[in-house]
Amino acid sequence: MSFDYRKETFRFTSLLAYFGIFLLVPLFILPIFMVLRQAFLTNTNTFSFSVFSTLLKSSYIWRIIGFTTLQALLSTVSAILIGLPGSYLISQFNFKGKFIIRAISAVPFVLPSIIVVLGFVIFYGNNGFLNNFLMKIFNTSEPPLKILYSFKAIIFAHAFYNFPICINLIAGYWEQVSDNSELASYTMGAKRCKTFFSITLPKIYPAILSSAALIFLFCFTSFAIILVLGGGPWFTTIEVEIFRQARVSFDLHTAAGLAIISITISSVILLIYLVFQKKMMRNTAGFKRPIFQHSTLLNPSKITSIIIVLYITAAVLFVTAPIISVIFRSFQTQLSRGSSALLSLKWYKQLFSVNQGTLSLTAAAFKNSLLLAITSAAVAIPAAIGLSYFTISVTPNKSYLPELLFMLPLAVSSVILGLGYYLLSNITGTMSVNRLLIVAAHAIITLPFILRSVMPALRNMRQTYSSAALSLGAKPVRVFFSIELPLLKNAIISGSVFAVAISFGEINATLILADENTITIPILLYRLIGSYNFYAACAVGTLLVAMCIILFSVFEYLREKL
Amino acid sequence: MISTIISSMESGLNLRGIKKIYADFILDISFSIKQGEFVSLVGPSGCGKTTTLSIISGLLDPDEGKMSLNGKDLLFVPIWERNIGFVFQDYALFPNMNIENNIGYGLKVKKVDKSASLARTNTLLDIIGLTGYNKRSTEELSGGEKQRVALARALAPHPELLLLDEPLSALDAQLRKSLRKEIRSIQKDLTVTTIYVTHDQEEALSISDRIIMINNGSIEQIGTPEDIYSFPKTKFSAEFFGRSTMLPVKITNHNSNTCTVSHKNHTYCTNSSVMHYFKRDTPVAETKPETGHLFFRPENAEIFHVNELDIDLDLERAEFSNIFLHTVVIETEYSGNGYFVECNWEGFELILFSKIRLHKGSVISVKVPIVSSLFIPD
Repeated sequence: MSFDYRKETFRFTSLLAYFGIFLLVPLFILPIFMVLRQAFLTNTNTFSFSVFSTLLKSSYIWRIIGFTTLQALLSTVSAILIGLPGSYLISQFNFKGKFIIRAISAVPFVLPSIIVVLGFVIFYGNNGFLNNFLMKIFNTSEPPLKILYSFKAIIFAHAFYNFPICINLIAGYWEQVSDNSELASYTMGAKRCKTFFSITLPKIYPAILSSAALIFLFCFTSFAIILVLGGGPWFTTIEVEIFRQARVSFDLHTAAGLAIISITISSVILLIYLVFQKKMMRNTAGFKRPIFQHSTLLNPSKITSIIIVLYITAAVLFVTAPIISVIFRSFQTQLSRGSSALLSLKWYKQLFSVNQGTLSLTAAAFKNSLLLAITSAAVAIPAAIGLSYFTISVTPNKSYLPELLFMLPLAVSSVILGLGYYLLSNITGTMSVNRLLIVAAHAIITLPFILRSVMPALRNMRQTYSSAALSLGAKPVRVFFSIELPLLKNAIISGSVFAVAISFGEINATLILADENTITIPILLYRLIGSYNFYAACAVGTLLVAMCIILFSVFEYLREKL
Repeated sequence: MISTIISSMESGLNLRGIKKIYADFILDISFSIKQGEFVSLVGPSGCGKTTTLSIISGLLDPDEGKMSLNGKDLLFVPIWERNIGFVFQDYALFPNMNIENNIGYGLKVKKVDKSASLARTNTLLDIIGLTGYNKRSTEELSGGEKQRVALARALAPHPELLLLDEPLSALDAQLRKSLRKEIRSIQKDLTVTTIYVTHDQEEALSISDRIIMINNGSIEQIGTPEDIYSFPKTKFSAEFFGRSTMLPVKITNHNSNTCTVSHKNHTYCTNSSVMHYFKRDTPVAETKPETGHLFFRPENAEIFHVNELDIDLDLERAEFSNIFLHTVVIETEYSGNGYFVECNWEGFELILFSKIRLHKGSVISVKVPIVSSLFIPD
């Protein structure tokens, strides 16, 4: 049924949509086009597969592809193994600490990856809090845990970063498909183990596989964690190699060729994700129950209660220890190498004093990051609202395809996007254009996160609100501003929180695109970590965490007051 | 001067050949509603009631037809200029505004000044019995209160027409009854022309001036509640408004006042207009037999607890009645003020109403006045 007054509404909201489509689609397509061009055109502008034939003959490249896949696979398995018990507890039992698991699992989502890296160094490093603690207990001078700058560290950091995806996706699905079929199985004499493998697992495997595909995709294209924690050519992934070829070796053809290989593999993984996602939606379509269905939730037994407490404690420690370490370390200083740490505000004083080498960049970095986050959000939010209206008026029935289509940019990692813009900036050249390209990159990277929040809210908004306002004499534009926008407010705000947080932490595209003079907080952190100035890095990191907390408080305030 | 005459001639709502065509459904309706009239649109779900309201309100454009309100052409007038109030099934109170701002929204949009708008809002709050609720949020209201506020909001800009789309369907039975009375009395006081959509036949019968019966996209019957209940024109409207007996018959004779029908070898007379007369030995004319149903409401059937009706004793009355002998009680169903009785008469089902309980299997005779017996063509 197509309502005619919608034409008028459509006319207005399509302005926003056109803004989104004409601004962002070229900004997404153009860099990919540039990468393709670079990969298939030789310097004399003739079409050639020579880049690929060279790449695919190189055992070095094959080793990189192999390593990238292996680390992604192991990271995925670890993240699932950590997250699955949490999903089980949340979706099947009734207990008070649920919100803790939910809150904890939201943290890595918004935490910039460079902070995670820093936190890992400070907490798990040879001179980190954990090793210091263990050294005191066992009275040794050798750090007992040597996980940093190794394969283990990458897997560990990826697991940290991605287990919340597993919890959110699987628990949400598990809750919805929970019914009494397990109980029925018990009454027919099947034991717990038998029931799990014959009833529960077949029911939830689409959620497990779809979250696995998503986690695999993220780990496959992970950049900052590998760049800093991996260290050395043995632990190089495709993304890191793209960056190295583009910005260190200046071999843009190889970088572009690798980017195409990466996009191809990512697309296949994304396709797998979409297939299982669709299967999940089809399965939950029959369950029209609220997400929190208490009747099927069990009250935990004593043993389960202990497991729940242990799991919550472990999760809280796992997530917060690295962050708290960063904050704590920022208030410490060592008078000389090897002496014990003292409490001090030295690093903060340095940060805020002028002309102190790298640190004087802090103010500029904060200014740039904030400006970048605000401008990219200012582009991405209206575009996302417009695209949501556009998509929903084009597909008014409850088709999930458009939502899924917006996942497609995930197949193109931000490093590759950055490479595309870098190639583009080689043509345009000027610095001011480059800065605009960084804004565009951030807007493109954050757009799916805002869309993911706004689109379902718009789809679920009751049509009668708008109809009532229209029948009372309000024109469509007025209906949009006085009724629809206020009703979408919360979704827009939560989407924006993610967008700004991601922009704050975005390092991949910025690193590949920015010149020496454009510095953001994550880049500053990257440089400080690179020069082993961990105390100063911790101070900057603490400020970044503080900024994120302030940001969330402001958004939370807006959510309530607006 | 001329325009006033025309508008007075065409006051109220007029729909002429309004059509909306979908792949699996066609709406095709024409009707008129007088200024100040309260008309119910009744029919099963999916029959086109809501589509009709959407077209009148301007939420939906018809594919064909003409439509005017108080002499003004409504087509091509955008919804926000039609001045038609709409109350939705889900109330659709704006959650981002308090009660006062909800009711005042239409006035604010029309740039009515603040004090006048507040005065109007307060008057309406008084009318709906929620005086002083100005600053409350919509979440603080009960279902019935929300519905009242929705009504006040629709009435605030002095609409020329009020549309109510199943406004009470989300409320419990007790509240529905008291609210429908309230809606009707407010409507009478403000003399606002009203279309009330409902699928509840009892609701439609109790509050409407007239009822428009819609089925599968077209109008089955328009009439007063009494007309529609007692003199349904189609099988559909007969069955929609409560239980009835439907006996398959053929027409054997037909004149301006009565019509004789036959079922197997029995002959019956039905009321084809207001007055009627019946004579047992009226010859069967050679008209082409037309098939249909003999219809009567349960409460119009008189039950005799004897096997044979004493025709001699009751001849005077029997002459004006149709009689069913050897009727066997199959099932009774208690309904508060009496019993619905399902009976078997020569293999067909009769639905009767009895003040007292009848025992299963007992044999009765039934007498139905011709005035209450209708022939409903197939």
